[in-house]
Amino acid sequence: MTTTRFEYMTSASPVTVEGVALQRSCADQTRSLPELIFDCVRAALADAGVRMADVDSVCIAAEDLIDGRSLSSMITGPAAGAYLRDEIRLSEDGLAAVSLGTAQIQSHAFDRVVVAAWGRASEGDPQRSGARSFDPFTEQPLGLSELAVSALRACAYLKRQAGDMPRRAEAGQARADRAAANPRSAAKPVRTVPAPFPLRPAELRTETDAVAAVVLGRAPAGIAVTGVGHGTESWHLGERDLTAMASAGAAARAALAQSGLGWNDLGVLELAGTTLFDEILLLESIGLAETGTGAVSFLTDPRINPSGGGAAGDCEPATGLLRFAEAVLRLRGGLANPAGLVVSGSALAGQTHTAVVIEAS
Amino acid sequence: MTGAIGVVGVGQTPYRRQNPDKSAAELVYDAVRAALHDADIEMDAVGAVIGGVAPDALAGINDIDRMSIARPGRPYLRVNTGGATGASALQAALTWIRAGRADTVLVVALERMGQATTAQAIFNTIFDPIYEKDFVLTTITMAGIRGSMLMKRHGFGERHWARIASRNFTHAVDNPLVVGARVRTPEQVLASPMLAWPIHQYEACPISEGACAVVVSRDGVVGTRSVAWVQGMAGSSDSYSMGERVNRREGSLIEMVPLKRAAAAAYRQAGITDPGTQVDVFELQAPFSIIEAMAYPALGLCDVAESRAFVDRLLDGEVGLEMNPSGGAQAANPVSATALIRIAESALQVRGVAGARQRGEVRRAVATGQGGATQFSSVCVLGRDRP
Repeated sequence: MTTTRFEYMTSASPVTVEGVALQRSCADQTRSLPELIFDCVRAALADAGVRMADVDSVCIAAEDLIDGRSLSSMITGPAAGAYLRDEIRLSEDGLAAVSLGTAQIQSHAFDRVVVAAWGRASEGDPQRSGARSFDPFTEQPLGLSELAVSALRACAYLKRQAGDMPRRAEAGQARADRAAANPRSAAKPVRTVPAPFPLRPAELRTETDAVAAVVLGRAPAGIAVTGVGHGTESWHLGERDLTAMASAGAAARAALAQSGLGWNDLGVLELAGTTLFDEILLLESIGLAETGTGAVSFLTDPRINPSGGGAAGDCEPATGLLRFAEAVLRLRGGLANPAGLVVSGSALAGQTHTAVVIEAS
Repeated sequence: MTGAIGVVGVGQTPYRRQNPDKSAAELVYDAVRAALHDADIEMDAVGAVIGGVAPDALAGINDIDRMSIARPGRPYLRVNTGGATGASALQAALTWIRAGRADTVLVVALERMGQATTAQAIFNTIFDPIYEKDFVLTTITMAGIRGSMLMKRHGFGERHWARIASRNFTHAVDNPLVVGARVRTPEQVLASPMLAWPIHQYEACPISEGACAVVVSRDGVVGTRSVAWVQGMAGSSDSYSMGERVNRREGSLIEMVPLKRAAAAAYRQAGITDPGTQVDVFELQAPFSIIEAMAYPALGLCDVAESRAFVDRLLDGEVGLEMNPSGGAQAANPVSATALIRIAESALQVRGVAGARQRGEVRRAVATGQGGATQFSSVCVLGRDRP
């Protein structure tokens, strides 16, 4: 048996992004999590100009430990519209749900799919729940978390460089400035955490409550999904090159190859990482910057994370879908290069990554 | 459906309460190796891996699939739809192939609930923390509520539940994967401790661990392999609130509306108009006798109002249908894997390689998946004839 390359792009009707919505909030006392989800999905449907009755399937990304109850999709799924229709929940990053939702339409199983993802950092601490993903005997006692792994990446990177990352502080400031200019950024974090060495406070993300929703379909909505890629590497941190993010590179290469686009064709890149350091490493891992020059590229290339990235407000597993929605909205605003690339990872510490290319017609 | 897809490989570990001698990864390895061997392929032929693990709390480790199922170099997704996880994972695999993303996908579902101090304490956390958790709503008590409704509305009695369980236990004796299987008479079932009225211990599923792996491939690469073709598959979800489902136009709480809708869609794809005569074997994800009785009308085997009479005839051997030749979920219920096991067992029946539990020449089998509080349902139709 042989494995074929993706072939669906030859199909006549591309998958299009009909509607998007993203909402960041901070411990909103007036709304429950299902209400936050309901409001965001409703906004995405309104953006698409369709009703829930026009939707065939709901594809969600959610994490039990962040939602605070087992099989949380029992209560959150219906809020996203999963009532008497097809529903599937991934325990993955939201961008992986975009991939599966796209495949659902490409497979001709459905014509319109709602993709939704959320995380309420004010109620479920993602760092605490993420720490439970490490081996309970050999790793959890070390206090590992996604943030701690980001610090380990930074250590490995700086050791390899034998010096600090050039223009690192300026990149941090640029990231904060971009977030400040983004009207959709979180007003304030739900909590602040100390920066583990060698990370700096300005390099951490803004933890927030967040919901994102996307309506995928076939209607000529102006923005099409033209490339999807996935990458997976070993679960064991010791088997990975922490400075390389191989799964992100594989995902981005696959998505770009499928779309037929190159770096110069892209008008926006939304690269998601736990910290600014991870976002910069992603730049280098996917080949957009030479090794050791990621911060310079981040600083000088306005296409990269114009949303402000993690500084704009983030919570797993909504991360990738937030960034996807940001990229769509950026393309809608009109860009000289009307195409975008979104890359985002899932547990454990970016073991898997998804990349999606979108193009405005 | 565009292009036929079939199950070409099945691998399962034995299902037992605990596996203290094996890690999660070792269980997965055993199941995957068996599935690849059954399919006569190497891992290189697998274009993507879909993992199925339900509530993390059961295993005590978040994202246990990452260390045990995800495979470097292969696209990987984890599906989590509760008890329906395994079926949803297979559905995602079908989607992946039909989208042209791979020719062959490996689906692996894993359950490590034997690591939990008490599974029902964890299942208590699937319900509302303010309104429901404190009166000990669990998967057992939620099934008990349905059982009492069936008894009140349709005249079922405790002996019905006991007889269904007894039949499943009897079937499980022929399934070497059910560790510790033994025949239990209806009287023995009724004599077992009461868990939550009207459910006795032996009418409820046991705690089970294990892994199940299934290889699915598109028509063009199947070659001469023994195949169980996917003739139809569909899923549906429902409202969380049980109170909302008691009286409504679409059907009551005990009518399993999402299962009914999933069955209708899957049957339509498969060209089934009379499941009672067009399906040879059913593998039902019914962790309780009560849930199995509810599934019959939802699957189109009888009317709701006549479901008790249908159960009587079925248990008396007057209905020519084979239910749960494997013993079903009452014999072994590794929650995350159970729905995929139903599909795997159906595939073995269709391929004629189910060993002592084979039910003659099976041309078509139906497997169901059930998750949440009868909230997520799926139906998969497998058959010998390529669609």
